Amino acid sequence: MNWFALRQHRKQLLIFGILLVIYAAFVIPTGLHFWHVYQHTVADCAQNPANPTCGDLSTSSLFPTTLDRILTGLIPSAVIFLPIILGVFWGAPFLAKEYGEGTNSLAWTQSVSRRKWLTVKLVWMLAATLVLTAAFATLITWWSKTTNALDMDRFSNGNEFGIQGVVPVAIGLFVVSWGILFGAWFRKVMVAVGVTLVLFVAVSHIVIPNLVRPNYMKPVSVTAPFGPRQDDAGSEIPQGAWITSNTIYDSNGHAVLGDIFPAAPPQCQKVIQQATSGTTNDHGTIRKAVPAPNGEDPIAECLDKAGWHQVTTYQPAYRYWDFQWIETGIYLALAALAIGATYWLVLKRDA
Amino acid sequence: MIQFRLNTHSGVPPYLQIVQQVKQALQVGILQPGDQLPTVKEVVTHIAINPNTVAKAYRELESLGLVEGRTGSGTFVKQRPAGPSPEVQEALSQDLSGWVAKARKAGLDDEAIEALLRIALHKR
Amino acid sequence: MGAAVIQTKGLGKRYGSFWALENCNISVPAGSVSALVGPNGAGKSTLLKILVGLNRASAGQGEVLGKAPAQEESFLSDIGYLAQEIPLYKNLNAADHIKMGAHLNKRFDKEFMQKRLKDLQIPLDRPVGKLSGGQRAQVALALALAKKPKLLLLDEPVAALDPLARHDFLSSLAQAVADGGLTVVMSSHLLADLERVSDHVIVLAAGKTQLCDEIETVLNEHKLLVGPRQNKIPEDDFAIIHETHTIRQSTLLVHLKKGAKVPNGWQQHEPNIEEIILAYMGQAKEGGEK
Repeated sequence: MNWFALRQHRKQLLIFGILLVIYAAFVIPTGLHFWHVYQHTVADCAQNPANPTCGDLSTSSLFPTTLDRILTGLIPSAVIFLPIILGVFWGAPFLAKEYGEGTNSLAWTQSVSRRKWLTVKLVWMLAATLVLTAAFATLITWWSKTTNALDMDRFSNGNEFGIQGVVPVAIGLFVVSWGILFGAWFRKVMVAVGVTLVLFVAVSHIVIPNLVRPNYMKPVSVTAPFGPRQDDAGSEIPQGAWITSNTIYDSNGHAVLGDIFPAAPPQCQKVIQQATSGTTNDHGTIRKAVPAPNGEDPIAECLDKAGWHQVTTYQPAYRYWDFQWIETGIYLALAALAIGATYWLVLKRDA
Repeated sequence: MIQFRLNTHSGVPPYLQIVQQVKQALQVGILQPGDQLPTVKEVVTHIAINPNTVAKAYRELESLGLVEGRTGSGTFVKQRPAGPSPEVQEALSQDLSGWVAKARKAGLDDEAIEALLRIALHKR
Repeated sequence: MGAAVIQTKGLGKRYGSFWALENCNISVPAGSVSALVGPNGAGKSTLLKILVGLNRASAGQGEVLGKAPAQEESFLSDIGYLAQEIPLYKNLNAADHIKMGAHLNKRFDKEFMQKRLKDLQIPLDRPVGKLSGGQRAQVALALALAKKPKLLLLDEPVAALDPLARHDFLSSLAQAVADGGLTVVMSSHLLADLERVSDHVIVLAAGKTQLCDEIETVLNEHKLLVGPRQNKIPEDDFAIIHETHTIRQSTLLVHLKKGAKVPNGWQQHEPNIEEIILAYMGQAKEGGEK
């Protein structure tokens, strides 16, 4: 059965092996190059802090050429797409193709129990997914040390959280498992592919990053006065933290949602009138702050005096690995659910 | 060696067709005592027929005393069925051919000849 | 013929509220080649799938080679099955299929399969998806036979084949039966083929068993009676399977009960198996419409 499981999926394994080699051929040299440039720049800036680039070190300032931008964009996005490709080419057809072509009834009438057949196939498929995603994740995590050093926030920035560390491995297993389940469920490759894609986008790109991930651990919250001292408050938030909310409260402790000018207390309305230019349209008057020439912000000053303040919540950077393991656990639990359901469908339903 | 044919639309059971074909072959001398009949496997390979049917036909021939099964080596012709020798048969066949030629000359078509033959057969 | 290899009692399969197979009672003797016939949707495929353990029965029991069908090695190793669509792994070649058989079956005769395919001049190194329909059917049959099964279940294996490929396939099958120790149940629409290859027949129509017996017995017990219309026949001795009437004449296909004699006034003819099978299918259809 082992030989057969491998023989059956030999081509798929080979193709993804080749993709991995091609990917490594891009990642390793560019990773070395980027890291070299970064370290060189940091050393330069230590000696010569006046250099204009040293003021704002970021991926885009350090690697400004078009080729740089293509590489820094493409190399991470390859790993964003990896689960999709695995779901489409490995997960969904895994059982749907057998059902669709009737080869399940060929396999199930050899002298191997259905349970053993499924177990051996699943073990190889999931092991291959694990090895492949781990290889890609290792490459991209290593490659990202430059951009991580430059861009700090590794929780929410684009999809970095989902492509580095252990999470991408869990996402890979999650997508492949659900693809397998949908294949056994719908028995048609195209339907299984479609449903798998919808599920992947919904779970990994909408629900988990926006609704679930911020709640893994209770966020740290800081209250800051409103106004010119805002920047001081900002410095209370450690580098690399993931800011999950930023809310303005008035003197009574009510959250100010939406446009703040109409909600401002009466004593500040005059200041607002003076410091803004108004344009009138169908919906009323839209006001825009006009920057004061001396860099002061009279509106913020007034609101601060009126007792307005803002509360910022964030997840500190040291929680990164806690978050990685929690999210990995969630994806693995979802994958296990799909595998369990697949067993049930394959063993209980008619051929 | 004899090769069997099977006519699936004749209504004659397949095993009987084999029995008849062996008998005919013996009558006209295609098969001689001592000749081996094709093995069951050879027959089924050739005409895609149920092997039990062939075995049954051979058993029937055996019970008629025409062939004998020798364990391990196959089925062999034991004797010709009772009846005239091939030479007599040949002579009769030639007589009949002559008669048919005569009937044709007299203007009878095949159907009419068959009808005459049938009447003659049923007279007894 | 030997003891029953397949024995079912009240076997049924329901899809939703529709019974695809209902109260099916059959018995297939060891060493026979049994023809499973019936119109489309009669439940032939369903019955075969239940017998090989691919589908679960909703009612009744089936015993195959003394065991209840199950997805287990001990049950599967004695049974060969060929599904209607003749599934094979299209991208794999015949040699891979031989290896597959050897890996997935304890008792697999590699040499037998290699020799068979070589005799049939089927290329071993070409993906089976690129072989002809007849060649694919032969690969699938060889695969099932190399397993050395005691029972082979074939679901319309020759339906998609041209006459020559059909002949070759049936010839391969007959050879395997001649080697002994094999019982075959084969569903098909091609009654003429079945008559030559089979010695046992199961007629399934409207989800129910209409007939299940050895062909010879079936032929002996059925007569075609032709007589004047007003003639009555004693119903105790005969079961009328099918009747047609003209103004003056009645033609009856009857099942003779044991020891029954054909009454006077009826001309007796021997129906062939095809006529008998068609009569049973027709009877089921009328019964279904009533």
